[in-house]
Amino acid sequence: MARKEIPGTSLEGIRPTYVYKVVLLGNTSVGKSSLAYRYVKNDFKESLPTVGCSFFTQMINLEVATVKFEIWDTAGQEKYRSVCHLYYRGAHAALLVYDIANKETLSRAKLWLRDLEKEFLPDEIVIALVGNKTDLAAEREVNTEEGEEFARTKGLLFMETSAKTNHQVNDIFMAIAQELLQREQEKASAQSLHGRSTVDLGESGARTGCC
Amino acid sequence: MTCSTSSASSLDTSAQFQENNGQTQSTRWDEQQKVFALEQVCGVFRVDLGQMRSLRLFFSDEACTCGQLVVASRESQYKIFHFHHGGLDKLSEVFQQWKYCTETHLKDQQLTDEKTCMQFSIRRPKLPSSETHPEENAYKRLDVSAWLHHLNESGQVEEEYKLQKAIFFGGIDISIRGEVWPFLLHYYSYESTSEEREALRLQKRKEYFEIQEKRLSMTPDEQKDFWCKVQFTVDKDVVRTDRSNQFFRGEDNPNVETMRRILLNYAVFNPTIGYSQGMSDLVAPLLAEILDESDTFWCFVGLMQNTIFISSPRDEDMEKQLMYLRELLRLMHPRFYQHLSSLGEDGLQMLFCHRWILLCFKREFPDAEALRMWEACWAHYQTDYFHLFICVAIVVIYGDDVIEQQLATDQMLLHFGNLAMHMNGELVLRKARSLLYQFHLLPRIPCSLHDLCKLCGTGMWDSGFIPAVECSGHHPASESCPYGGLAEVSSPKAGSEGKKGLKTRDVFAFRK
Repeated sequence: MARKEIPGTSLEGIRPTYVYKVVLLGNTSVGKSSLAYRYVKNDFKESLPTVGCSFFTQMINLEVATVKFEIWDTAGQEKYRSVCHLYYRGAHAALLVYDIANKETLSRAKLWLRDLEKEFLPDEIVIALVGNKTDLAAEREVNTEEGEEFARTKGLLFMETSAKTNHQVNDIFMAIAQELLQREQEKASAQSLHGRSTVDLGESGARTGCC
Repeated sequence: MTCSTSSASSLDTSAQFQENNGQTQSTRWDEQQKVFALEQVCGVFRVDLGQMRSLRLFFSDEACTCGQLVVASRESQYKIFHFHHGGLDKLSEVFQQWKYCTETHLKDQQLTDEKTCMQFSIRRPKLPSSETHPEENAYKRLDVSAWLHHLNESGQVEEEYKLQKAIFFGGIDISIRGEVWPFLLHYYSYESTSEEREALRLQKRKEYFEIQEKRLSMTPDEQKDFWCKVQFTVDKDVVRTDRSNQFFRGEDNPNVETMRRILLNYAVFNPTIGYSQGMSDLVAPLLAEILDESDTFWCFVGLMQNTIFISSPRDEDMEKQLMYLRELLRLMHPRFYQHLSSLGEDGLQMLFCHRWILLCFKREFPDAEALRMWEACWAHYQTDYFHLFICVAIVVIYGDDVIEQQLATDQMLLHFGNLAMHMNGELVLRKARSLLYQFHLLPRIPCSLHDLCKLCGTGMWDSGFIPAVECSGHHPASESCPYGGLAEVSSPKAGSEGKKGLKTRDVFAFRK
């Protein structure tokens, strides 16, 4: 995995900082921007349709590491799909978002998954399937089991969220952070099995210039 | 000092905090968490000046007392303080006396330790006189009486070029936008008389309702297809477009429904374009100024011929725009161009300005300023690509951090994204006009930018001065470039003759 890391800046000196690029993908108006906005600003507002893409950052302070998410929020309309590979190039994680009150959007999420599978090897990217808008329970068209089942067969993380009511928004990003860190650990131990007793956290892929 | 955020006083405490910067780092994280919590509760925040990437002051008034203080963290998070009622000058004095700021004037090489490399700059609202267009300030806003002055007794625009120039420099007064925009958007021709325009409006209204009739009489299959391809997205978008604008505010506002009909009808009128997200951003201000549904529709048709929604955002039109922009940057802001090149293909894609071009700065500046930019672009004064000069101006004024901090592609996107709605539109426009003027004076232009001038015929070189065109060698097949070596454009006529050969598809070539 092409991870980026920079040495921890805290005086403890042992806690590394990982920088991960996360992309939000999904049909138009399933709530991609709203999820990002809720997660980063803890607020909800009616957002304009995304044109091109916008970008947020969020830091998570965990016991073992500091994680910095660079969240790329993309336009959902089909027409923009051709430019999307520009945005998800080099991504470490992807959230495939659909609207639980619109069955069609789950099918579209499956198409996005196919695009990602073309671009990435399974261990190169953490993918989460996110059923958003649980606040619209009365209009639900996709039941939880259906999303869950699909995620399970494809080996994706899964959660249902509501950006509006702040339901499980933090949780899904946290789950992604945990999964990414776990993969780092697995990779580190695999490396040490191959004769390296220590892992130099400052060595690989340190970002140049300003962090 | 009056400041629109409550955090000005906390800057002092942070400044002290910075003095013993080295010792406080271990607690910084906890501090930051507390600060975040506090910020969310009451909108107050502190800035650790030791962790700043840059501190910049942008004055917005002539007296240099009001404006914005922009603080950027290393994570490219921005805090912007608005000083609406003065006081920024006092703060500026304090900063200028502060060793930590002034030291950043040292040469880059001397600042080997990145941590001490904080950028500090002050930007005055006036460009130095050497950087302003000489005709700047010669035009005031086009108001009713000035507008009537441009019309003869039968209502024809007497001298189109003079009108365009006046609009380019001075803009149009809000009260007559609805009347003048249809000319700029090629709904009315400048030669038309008032009578002819009235007749045209009637005829076009009839046509418009025929289009609508066509939409309403689709077969169920067609309807289903139309719903999937167009209506689903339009319905979602119109209710979230410009709702803070008085004109579209409130529940069940009939104007939102009008905007919806215009967009749906447009997709029927031009099925190859259909609906692209972002169109609602473009049509909303037209409707709010022009008011009449059919007139707005036809102005929108004119506008769309002039934008790059022609097909998908990845098509050759966008590529062409980006190519011109890259070349302009190479010519007018080589340091920035160099930075982009150093990032390779990703950098040269310039993701950060796609939205600027697609929506003509609508999301980058408040409406009043964005619409001034629209008018300046629509005036087609000396160039059909004025929007690209605006892009360069933004980069010149707000791109220092990008170069000095060698920001990567994604960081650039964040940098400019965060500046949206916080930039000084008037300053950007003035700079853009000055850049156009400088371009105009160049003794030589690269062949890659030759079309930039050719499209507007002899407009750009109306002074009779014609620059030489030379091959930049930066394009495929440059060995067979007609401008290999040095080729003189023989006369202004050569330009207009060349124009005939252009494909009609050339997006910006709809003049005559």
